[in-house]
Amino acid sequence: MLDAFLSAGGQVFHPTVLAAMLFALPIGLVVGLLPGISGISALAFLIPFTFGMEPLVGLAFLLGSYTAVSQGGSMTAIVLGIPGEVPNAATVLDGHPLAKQGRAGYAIGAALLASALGGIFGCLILILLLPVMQPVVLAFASPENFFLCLAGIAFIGVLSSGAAVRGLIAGGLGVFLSLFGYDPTEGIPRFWFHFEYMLDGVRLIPLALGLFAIPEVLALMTSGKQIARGDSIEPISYRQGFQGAVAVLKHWGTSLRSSSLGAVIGVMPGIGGVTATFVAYAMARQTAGNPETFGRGRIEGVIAPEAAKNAEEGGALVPTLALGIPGSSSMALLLGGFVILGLQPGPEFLTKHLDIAFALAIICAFGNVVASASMFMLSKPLMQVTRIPGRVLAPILLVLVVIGTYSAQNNSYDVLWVFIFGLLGIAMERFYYSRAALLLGFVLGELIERYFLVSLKAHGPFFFMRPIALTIVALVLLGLLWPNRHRITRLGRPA
Amino acid sequence: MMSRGQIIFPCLIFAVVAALLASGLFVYRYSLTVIGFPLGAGVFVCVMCLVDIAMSLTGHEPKPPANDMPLEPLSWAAVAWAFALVPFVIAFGFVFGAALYLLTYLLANGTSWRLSAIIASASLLVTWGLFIRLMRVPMPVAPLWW
Repeated sequence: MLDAFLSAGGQVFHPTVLAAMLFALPIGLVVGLLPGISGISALAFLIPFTFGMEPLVGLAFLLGSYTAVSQGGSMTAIVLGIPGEVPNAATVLDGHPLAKQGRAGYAIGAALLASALGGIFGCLILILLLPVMQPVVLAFASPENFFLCLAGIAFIGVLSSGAAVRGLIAGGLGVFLSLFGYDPTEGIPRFWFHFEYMLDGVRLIPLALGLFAIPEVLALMTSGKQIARGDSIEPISYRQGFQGAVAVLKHWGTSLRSSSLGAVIGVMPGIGGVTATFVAYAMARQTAGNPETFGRGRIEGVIAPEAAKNAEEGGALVPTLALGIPGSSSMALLLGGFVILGLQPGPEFLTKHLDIAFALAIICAFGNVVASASMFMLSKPLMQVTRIPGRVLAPILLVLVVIGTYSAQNNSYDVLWVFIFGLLGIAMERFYYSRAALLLGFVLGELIERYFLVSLKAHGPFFFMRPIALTIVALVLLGLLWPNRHRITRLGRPA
Repeated sequence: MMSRGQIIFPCLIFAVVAALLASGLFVYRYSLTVIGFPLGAGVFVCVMCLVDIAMSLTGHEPKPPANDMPLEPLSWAAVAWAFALVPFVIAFGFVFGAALYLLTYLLANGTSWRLSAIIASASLLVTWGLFIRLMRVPMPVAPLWW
């Protein structure tokens, strides 16, 4: 195994492989900066260019851009309040308030280092787990995935503390909206009203951009002023970024917990990055002091989702490489890239090409570090965006949001929906309904239904009587109750 | 102080969700396996909306934290300008509609001719050059009504 690892290191640092990765990185960064365009788009755009390349060169080319996309998405989330990718929506919650206070650099520094460390952590998990992963992934069947999704739902309450009932309404509405379109077992379309677009249900990108981007754009259009408007706006400098990076080291516990959570969620096929970022955010809020200050510029609220998101990517490579089961939709596309390059991921891949698997992990880790460093260099001009007057910036952002939304699925109706969800987002923001809870409910709702029905059919009504499922339930209860243990024990005592 | 919106918004959510559930149950007549999950989620949302309305009516609505940045009220002009992008895109297509929208908005809001024209041209470059030519997004260049 050590031989394979050393051989992988030698292959990765071959000039051709390095050049392919470094060439693809800027493409990923640009794609990440465009709202609505995800890593899938970057992969779809780059796959045709890999024809005829050596397998490792082609994969370095694809993974190099893929790792960079999320870094670009974090920047727009912090600076503009517009998530570049849907998982970046969790970064908006505390990152953008920091930008409004004139501390975008602080948030950017923290986000970049947390992303890089999360990415490295995810890749370490990948390297450690690859040889022994098969039984672990196969132990997670539908019942376990069902309980993992339920665990995510349990965090809706945490995301909405302060307005618990409204948070539950938002989460419930998210679940409800996710259940439109074809039902997973009988294939009967629900609530489609003979409108063909609705056969596939409500789409995630118009929902996420509508909820988060449109309210920001409208607020900028109304005020006409720049984003950074705090009383004590600091001058734009790299110093802020370094302070943000130091904050990550100071909050190493948040970073480590979120990275571990992200890697675990990534390993489970089909759960996805959005769940990882929001649950990590909720966990950070749950474990940090003064949770009521989250949503107003807490640095832990930036560190947690960023670390989880990049660790999740490394984790998602585990089932893709070890079993040939893509951990996310981007991984499904990457799987296509493998086939084009003449490789077939799966158990046999690990016995034949363990060196390539390790090389991919190293590429991911290296890509994360280089992408973070590149973004840090770009952060100063990006921070200048927060000082552009809103009357100039707002229409540009709106156009980017609309074009980005259209490009995600090439469907004009998505553009209309982004405005409809925009109105919903405005109302939710103004009446203290958690938009994060709605998005988390939306992502998990459909998964919960599918895994529940499959579990019921495959394992019967007592599908929950499985050791791993029960362990997940116990861990979730512990996670939710532990921070409130003092309150609970106080309730038990006589007055 | 309680605003009317605090009551109207949950009422709207309740009405929309209840209407959708009623259509599923009584118009489409979905089987329990098909409607089961949406019914559970929908009923939960409706019950929570009723609780929220009752809380607002009895003065228990959530209040903004004391040190929270207050949200400025949105202007109708801003809402109208934002939604104006849709007719621009329908009338002139994504590429030219977006550029024309930017030009019109910026000029109408006091930006100089020079800067407005530069931004509109940059928009043409991004939508046509980056999205259509480079990323091969099949974006309609012609008007959508064509």
